[in-house]
Amino acid sequence: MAEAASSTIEKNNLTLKSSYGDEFVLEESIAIQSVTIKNMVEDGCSSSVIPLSKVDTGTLIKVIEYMKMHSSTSSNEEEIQNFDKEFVRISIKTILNILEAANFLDIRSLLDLCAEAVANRIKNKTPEVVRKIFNITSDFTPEEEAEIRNETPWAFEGDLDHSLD
Amino acid sequence: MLKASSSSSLPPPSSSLPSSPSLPLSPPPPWVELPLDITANILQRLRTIEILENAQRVCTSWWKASHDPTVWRVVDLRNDDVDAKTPRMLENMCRIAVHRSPGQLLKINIENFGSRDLLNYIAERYNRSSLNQLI
Repeated sequence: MAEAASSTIEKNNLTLKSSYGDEFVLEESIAIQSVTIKNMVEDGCSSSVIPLSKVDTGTLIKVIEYMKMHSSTSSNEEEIQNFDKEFVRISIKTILNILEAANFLDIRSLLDLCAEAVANRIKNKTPEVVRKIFNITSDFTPEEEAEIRNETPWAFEGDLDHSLD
Repeated sequence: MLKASSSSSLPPPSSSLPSSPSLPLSPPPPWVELPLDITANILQRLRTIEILENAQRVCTSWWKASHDPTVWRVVDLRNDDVDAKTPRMLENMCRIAVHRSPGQLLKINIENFGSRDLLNYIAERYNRSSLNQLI
C-alpha cells in the first residue's frame, strides 16, 4: 500500500535541473504547461532529471512560480490577473531571462506576458531612452540611418528635417 | 543556499520557492541576440506610429524585426490616436505599414485621412474580398 502510494507520487513528479545544477521537484501536471517538457514526457525522456541547460536557477524559480499559479484550480481569473501584473514588476534583465526561458520551454502565455511587459516599457519613449533602458548600442551604418531618415523624415524632427511641414 | 542541492533533500515543491529578491541569475544575453520572432512579438504590441517613429530606430535587430509581416497584422492610424500628425505623415506611415504586411494584414483603421490614392495603393495589394473585411 505504502509502496503503491510512493510510486504514484514518483510517477506524477518531475525533477527540473537548472543550468546551475539546482534541482526542483514539480508535479508533472504543472510542468507540462511547458510544451518542451510535455514533449519530453510523451517521448519517455522524463524518467530521470530533466536538465534545463539554458535556464538559470533564479529564472527557473520564477517560471515555476508562474506555472504553479496558472495551474492552480483554487485561483480565480481576477487572482491570476493580479498575479500576472505583479509578476512582471521586476527588472528588465529578469524579464529578458524569463522571456528566453519561456521561449526555450515553449510556454506561450508566459512569453506573451513578458512581451507585453517589455512593450509597455518601450511605449512613449524616444529611441535614445529605449537604448538606455535596454542597454542597447545603436549599430546602424550611416547609409542605413539615411534610409530610415528618408522613410520617416518627420520622426527626426529637432535634428534638421522640416521638408514635410 | 540552493547550491548542490539534490532532489531528495529539497523540501516539497510548495515550499521550495523562496521569495528572496537576491536570486541567482545569469547575466541576460544582449537584447539584440533575442530571436527575431520574439522581438517581433514585442513590437507588434506597439502602435503603428511608435514602431515607425521610435522602436525601429533603436538598433539594426529591431529594424529587421520591424519588417516582419507579423508586426503589421493590425495597422491603427486613427486620428484621435495621434498628436500633431499631418494627413500626409499618416498616409506615408500607412503605405509603409501596408507595404510591410504582405498577406498578413487583418485589420486597418485609417479614419479621417484616407485619400483615393491611398485606398488604391491598399487595394492593389489586397483583393476585393479581403479588403471588405479589412476596412
